[in-house]
Parts: sequence; C-alpha cells; structure tokens
Amino acid sequence: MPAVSVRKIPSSLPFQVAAVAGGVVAMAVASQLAIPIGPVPITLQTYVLFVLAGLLGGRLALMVVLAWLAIAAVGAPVLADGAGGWRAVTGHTMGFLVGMAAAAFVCGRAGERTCGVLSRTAVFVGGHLIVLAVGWSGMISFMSPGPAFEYGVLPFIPGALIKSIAAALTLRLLSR
Amino acid sequence: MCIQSLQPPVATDRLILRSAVMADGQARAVVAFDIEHRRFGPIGRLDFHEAAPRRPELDIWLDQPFRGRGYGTEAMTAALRWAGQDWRRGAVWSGHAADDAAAGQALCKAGFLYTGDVVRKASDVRGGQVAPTRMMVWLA
Repeated sequence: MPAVSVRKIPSSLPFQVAAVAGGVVAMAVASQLAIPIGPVPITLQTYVLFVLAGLLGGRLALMVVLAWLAIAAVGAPVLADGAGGWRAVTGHTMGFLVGMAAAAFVCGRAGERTCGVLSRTAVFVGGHLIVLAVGWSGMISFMSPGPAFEYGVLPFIPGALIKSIAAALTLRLLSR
Repeated sequence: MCIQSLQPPVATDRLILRSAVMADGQARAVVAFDIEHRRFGPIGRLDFHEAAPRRPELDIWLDQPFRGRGYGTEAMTAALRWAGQDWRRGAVWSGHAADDAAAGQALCKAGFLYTGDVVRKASDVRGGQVAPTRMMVWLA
C-alpha cells in the first residue's frame, strides 16, 4: 500500500500555508470535543494530530501545533473545552501541549517512512507515549509522581490505543 | 501591611464572601474572606495565603453549627472560581489532617486532588497542634 507522505504534498508556499491553517482549524475543532474526566480532559486532539502528521509530515505538523498554540496563547478559545490565553497554555496541561509538538514532529518524520496500518499504529502509540510522558513530567510540578500518573496518564491509555488505530485507519482510507 | 477590600463580593445562592486583600512585607498576597450566610450572618472564614511566591494555599474555618451542610464546599467552590478567574492563579493548594476524612471529602467536592504529599503542619482548628496533613491541589 502506498504511503501518504510529504513527497505527495505540494511544496509551494501557498499550499503549505493553507495546510497549516487547515490543520489549526482541525486541531481547534478536535479540542472542543472534550470529555472532562479530571484535571486533563479526554479530547480528539491527538487523533487529529497524528492524522495531520501522517498527511503533512513532521515539519508541517510541527508548524500546525506551534501555530495552534500561538493562537491559543493570544486568547483564542482553541484549546480543550474552549480554553485559551497565556495562562491556559502555560498551566498544568502545558506538558501535554509541549508533548504534542514533539510528537507531531517525531510521528510526522516517522510517518514519512512508514506505511501500513500496523506500523503506523505503532508510530502513533509511540507519539502518545511522548505526549503522556511530557505531560506527566509537567504534572509533577503540582503533585507527586504517583498521583500525576494516576490523573495524567492512566485514564488516557485506552483512548491512546483507540486513537492510534483510528488515525492509522483514517490515513489508509485517505491514501486510497 | 496594606488592606484593601475587593468589590463586588463573591456570592453564591446561600453565601456572600466579603474579602480583604492584605500584602505583607515580603509582598506575598493574603486574601481573606468572611463567609456570611444570607440569613444567619457570619458563619466562618476562608483565606488564601502564599506560603511561597505563586503558591497560594487555602484554609477554611466554619462555625460548628454550620459544618456538614455543604457550606464549606459552596464557599470553596466560589472562592476557587474567583482565584482562577480574577486572581489569575492556575493552582491552589490545601490540606487536611490525615485523620479528618470529612475535611478531605469537602475538599474533593470542591475540586481538589490529592498530591500524594503528607507534611507535618500546625492546625489552626486544633489550636496550633502539629499534625500529619495530606496535601491537595486544585488545578484551574
């Protein structure tokens, strides 16, 4: 099966700007679908993030996340549950947001060399591990490592697996 | 020390929290609220004090007849909403004596999470007696 890779993405500046803008909108929409289960809500952010990483590659996916965070920082309600502003970006979920930027780049670069649902799922599970690990390290500035794991990692493991598979399947559908 | 009233007071269905902001010599803010019942008048006190910069801690004290009726949770929920929105604090810490499960339940209902830390602190409610205190944090 052919991979959807950056080789198929036009390299023109207008296209890349449009791709980043579309990606930011997609991240903002995914953020609104939030299930508040505790200090960190469940959202579709990482599903959309990894689909974008697979479609756009590491560099553009990273630019999408940085643009999304910049827009959030100036007050646009584009984070989970309509949050926005500098304090929302730098609050207790900052680690997860930083982790998303790192995961976007890593999974995008890996996705450029990967095809097949299984291998992409593995890449996206790795991406979720990055998000959760960096998010957990941010949470431990507010609480001990054990509770930070309980509140910031454990509830998200089943969803991370489901979203990784869903993102890989979505990319397979889009590559047809 | 300067004292300044916050207007308007924080209000809930049953309570009004009238506040004063005090800053000590180290410029660490203290915000104290007198908790007033709309029918019965003053019933307790809630305060935020910064043990370290940007680390506000919440303490609450209610008169005995008004405990166990949800007033503490109601007052803390309103005060935390104020702390997040108006005072612009992203996190607030609190704690309860390890053997006081009811206080822990009230803090949980107000949205606090256990941090996993247990420290020995003097308790005003127990006349300054030092007791193991389970620390909790509220995240905006």
